[in-house]
Amino acid sequence: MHIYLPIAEMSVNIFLILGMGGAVGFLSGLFGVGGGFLMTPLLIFIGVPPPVAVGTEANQIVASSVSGVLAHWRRANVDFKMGFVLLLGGFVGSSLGVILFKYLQNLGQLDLVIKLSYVIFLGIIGFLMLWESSRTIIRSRSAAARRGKLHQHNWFHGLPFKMRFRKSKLYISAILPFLIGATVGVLSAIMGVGGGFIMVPAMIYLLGMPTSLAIGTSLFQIIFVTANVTFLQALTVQTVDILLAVLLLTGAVIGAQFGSKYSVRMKGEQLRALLALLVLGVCVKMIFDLTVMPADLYSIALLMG
Amino acid sequence: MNRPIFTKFSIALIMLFLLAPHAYGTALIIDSSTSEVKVSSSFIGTDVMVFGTANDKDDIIVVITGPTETAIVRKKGRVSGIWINKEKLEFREIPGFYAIASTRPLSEITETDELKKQKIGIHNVITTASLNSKDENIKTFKSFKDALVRGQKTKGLYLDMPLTIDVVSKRLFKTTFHFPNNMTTGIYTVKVFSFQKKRLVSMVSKTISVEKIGIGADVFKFAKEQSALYGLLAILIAVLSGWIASVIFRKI
Repeated sequence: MHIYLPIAEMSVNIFLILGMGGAVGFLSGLFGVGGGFLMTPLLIFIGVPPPVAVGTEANQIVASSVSGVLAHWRRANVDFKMGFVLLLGGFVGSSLGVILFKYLQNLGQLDLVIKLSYVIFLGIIGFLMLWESSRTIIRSRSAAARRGKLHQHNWFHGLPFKMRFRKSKLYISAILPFLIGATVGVLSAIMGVGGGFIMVPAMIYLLGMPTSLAIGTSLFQIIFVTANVTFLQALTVQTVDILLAVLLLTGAVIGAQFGSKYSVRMKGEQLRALLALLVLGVCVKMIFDLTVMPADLYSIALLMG
Repeated sequence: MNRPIFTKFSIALIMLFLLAPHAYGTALIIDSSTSEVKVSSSFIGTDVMVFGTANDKDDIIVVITGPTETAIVRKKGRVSGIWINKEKLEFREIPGFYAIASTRPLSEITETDELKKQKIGIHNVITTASLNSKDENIKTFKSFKDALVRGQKTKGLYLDMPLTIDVVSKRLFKTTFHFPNNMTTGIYTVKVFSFQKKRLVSMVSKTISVEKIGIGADVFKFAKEQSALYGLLAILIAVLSGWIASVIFRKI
């Protein structure tokens, strides 16, 4: 059964979209990630114009983050104060990102920047996660885990504008979470992702937040940043397809439930290793796209009028 | 002046005016199976038949042209191992859709100059005149134009080789075009040329409108005209769906 997407201006098989939503939802439930970094490339792959894929995926992430954050809120896993600082950065970053998006589109280098961003960020995150999880797996086989310091003290603890984040048990400069929020905001606008896969590790390793709080707080921040991206993309380039977003999120919501049920049966470090392989897989695919000679060297951008 | 006589006279004038294109004594009459293509939310493309009558032994060419667009064609080049867009050429006012059908190969129907003059065949429609005056790189024009035609052809939007026209009887002809699901909306022009001994004897045209209908059209209009409200609605729908999902699945 086909359905015509009014903004993407193409007909798609309704079950293909629901299936994609379901599959990515399953993985996001399994690994506790938003799945934007999988969905946006998939949408582009089936022929949705990249700007529409990015704008619509931002819209869908709003929905999945809302349902995610409610679950974390119930378990008191959201540091609202930290969330607001990240959010402030996120608003600045995502607004800049939308401007940059339009600029790159006019320049004809948007696809390149999207793919390069995927390669760089997925490559780094995937490699770090694989390294960390395989070390944990090896260590858990050899010896019992030792209890270390709460977190490391680095140079950035000397920065000004110190704030106390009671929930996270941190007393750090507000500049750092602001910068993390801003960086992820830019990426969110350009890559069509929530950015949880970058923000959560940054909050754990750079800020020293506990993992569960980092996930809940990042979801809280992602809602507002992706909502901002959705609004700005709808306003400036009109690339948010509500129908596509609703279809995707229907599939994703159902898929995520199965995914999260399945994830209980697996060990954390095994999950992280699998997620790392998945992330690296998408990264390799992007490297492949960038370096192998394209079948057609020419590309066409059509403008009305 | 006597009123009835004046009326009759003007009717005659109008008749004469209408018949003017057929001054060569041909009776080229055409129509299409539809004048309005409605793009609804279940639209997967449609076939449009163009048919008509002409003089015996006339050669017929049918051309359908879609609303004009601007196309930017970019060529990738290798920069330190990565393929990136380097050169670009901008084509102005090119058709968003182009389809052609003929009774015989174009070169057998008439001379190249006549085809150029009447802009028959996609390569006579997209010429160096379509270029943005700022782009002066005429050398690369051909390869970029070929790339444009190739790309549009893959999407089912251009036909570079004419389809065949069925000659049903001596005077009746028909041909069928496919309108794909990714076509743009607007006014499409159908032009039918008839040739006799390589000479153009008649040309008639009609239009087909392609428009979006139903919820899809409303959503599209809403998104373009009230962008801010549309954006807010998109967010509201997402927040509500997320909340509903969370409530439903908590109980299961």
